[in-house]
Amino acid sequence: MLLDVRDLETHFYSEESVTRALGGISFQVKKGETLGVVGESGCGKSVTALTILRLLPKLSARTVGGEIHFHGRNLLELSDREMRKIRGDQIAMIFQEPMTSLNPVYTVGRQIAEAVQIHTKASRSVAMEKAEEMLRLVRIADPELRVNNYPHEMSGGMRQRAVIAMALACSPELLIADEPTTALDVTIQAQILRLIVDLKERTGTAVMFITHDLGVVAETCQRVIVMYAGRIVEQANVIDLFARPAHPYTQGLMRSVPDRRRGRQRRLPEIPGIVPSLREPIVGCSFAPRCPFAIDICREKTPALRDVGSSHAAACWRAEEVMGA
Amino acid sequence: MATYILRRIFSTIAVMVMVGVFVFLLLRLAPGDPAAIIAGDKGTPEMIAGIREQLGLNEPLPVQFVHWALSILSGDFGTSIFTGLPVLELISQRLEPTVSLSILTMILSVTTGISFGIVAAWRAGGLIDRILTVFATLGFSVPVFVVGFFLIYLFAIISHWLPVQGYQPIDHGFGPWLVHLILPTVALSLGYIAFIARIARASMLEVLSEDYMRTAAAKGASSYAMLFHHALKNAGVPILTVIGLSFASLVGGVVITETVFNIPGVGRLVVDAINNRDYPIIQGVLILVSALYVLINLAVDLSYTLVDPRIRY
Repeated sequence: MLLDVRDLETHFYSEESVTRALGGISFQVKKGETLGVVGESGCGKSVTALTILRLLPKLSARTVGGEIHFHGRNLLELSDREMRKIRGDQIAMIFQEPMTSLNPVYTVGRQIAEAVQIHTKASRSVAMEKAEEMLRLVRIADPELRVNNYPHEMSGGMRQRAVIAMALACSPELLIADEPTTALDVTIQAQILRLIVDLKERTGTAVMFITHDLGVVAETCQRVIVMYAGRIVEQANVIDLFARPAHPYTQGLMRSVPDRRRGRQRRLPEIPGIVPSLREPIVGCSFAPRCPFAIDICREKTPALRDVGSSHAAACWRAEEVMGA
Repeated sequence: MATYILRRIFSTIAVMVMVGVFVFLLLRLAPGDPAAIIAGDKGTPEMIAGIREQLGLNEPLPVQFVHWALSILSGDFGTSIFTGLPVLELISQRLEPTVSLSILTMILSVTTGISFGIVAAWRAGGLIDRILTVFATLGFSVPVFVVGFFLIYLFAIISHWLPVQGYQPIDHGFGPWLVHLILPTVALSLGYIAFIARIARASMLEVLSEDYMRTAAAKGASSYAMLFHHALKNAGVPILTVIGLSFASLVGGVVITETVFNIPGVGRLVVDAINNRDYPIIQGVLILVSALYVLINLAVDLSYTLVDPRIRY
């Protein structure tokens, strides 16, 4: 087991309230696998990623419970210095916004080389050679010229390739990709996805793929966790998930994906209602107010994640009926 | 880039011509007749008329201006009405203390101002930040002469650690020179430290919340590298701007500081000249200071390209 997250709880604090962004989530990432993390905006996907890397703002966010075991070590107990050695070296991250996630005043090559220099004893020139090699790996044309480009001299797709090059420069064992294609044109999206899948297969890096796009999940992931309101509501192999979704929320997500084969059909179904506020404690199942299957027990008791098949779990009182529906 | 520099040099010349006209007119049109002053209390109307004739004060203004501008361009700033010595010589005699005070003030202001700004932004909302905010407000609002007298009282009169006032040229030894300049430099710097710290804090704070700072953290960069490598250069343009402005506006503060600490510099020279209506000195100093101001602005504008590769002229 590469990454083992147990009962992780992260809260955000402001003057007047506490937001329970993660309400105790547990999941694992195996060596070399691709795990999809799916859910709407605000469900805690990105918070999960930032909590693992301990990159949340110290003043406003605190991880109040749980453990994050990486190679058997609990990341939450490491010193800042030890944590810095892991960031970028063993766990790397790609962010959503390629336009703003590179430093505008340094060349792309220098920024990739910096990652190399932080984690190895490489000299500046060796690190720059590595940067060029990484740009070639992510299929940027003329890498020997592009290393000397500033971010503003590159297109969005090229910048995201550069960010990927930077993340992979130290051959991390886990790559966290937080909506890496959301901000890109559709044609570029497909290229970047293919690139990540290819590189993953070549390097054997495990990938945690955060997305709200089920199409991306189907194309890239082996296992999926579905998050809702700071909790995991379903966890399954990608095939099982698409074949027999066990949580009404997962079903709703799938129905609201446009399907080309059905042609220009009726209006795209949506999930009625809104995501509950995480500032107040939630009684019962957090999805109950929006759920077509909800019965009395759903509004009273919070369902725990339970097995509904082999390596298929859902947090729903009526999972069996949902799967049959 | 070359065309931009050329364009800027042309506009610099245009600005200097306007400054010239203004400096010239300001003093000719102000009340008080220099000829009467030179003649002194016992001057007869005939003497005054003779002096007017000698100085060319009877010529029409445009003719006076052309004469004046041509001689300044040839390096002749005229002679002091009061002492009869060449203006340029008087200024250069007084240059050392003023330049010493200005350079020390800029070094102190820039280094401490930027450091305070960075620390305050790094620990925004914390104790250090709040102390620095109070200090910055004080530094802004208390005038140089109040700070000056306060420092003299504390460090010279009560504790006798430092000299009360005066100046020692640097060729009399580095130690005495520095000791005499400590209080004036600190008094003059406080305002600039506050100003630079405020701007540095604000622009660092903005940069620290940028996405690329998180990218740098995700790479494993240390706090030091984050602040000084990734953030400072991005926050550089506004900081450079205020440093340029501070440097350019130093003249006013220097005049007051030199008076408070009895330093025989250009500031004192110009104050005395104003009291004596010694037109050529006032004009000479104004022209030189304006030229310096314009040049600093040019240098600041050009230095932006060193900090931010996106800026191209």
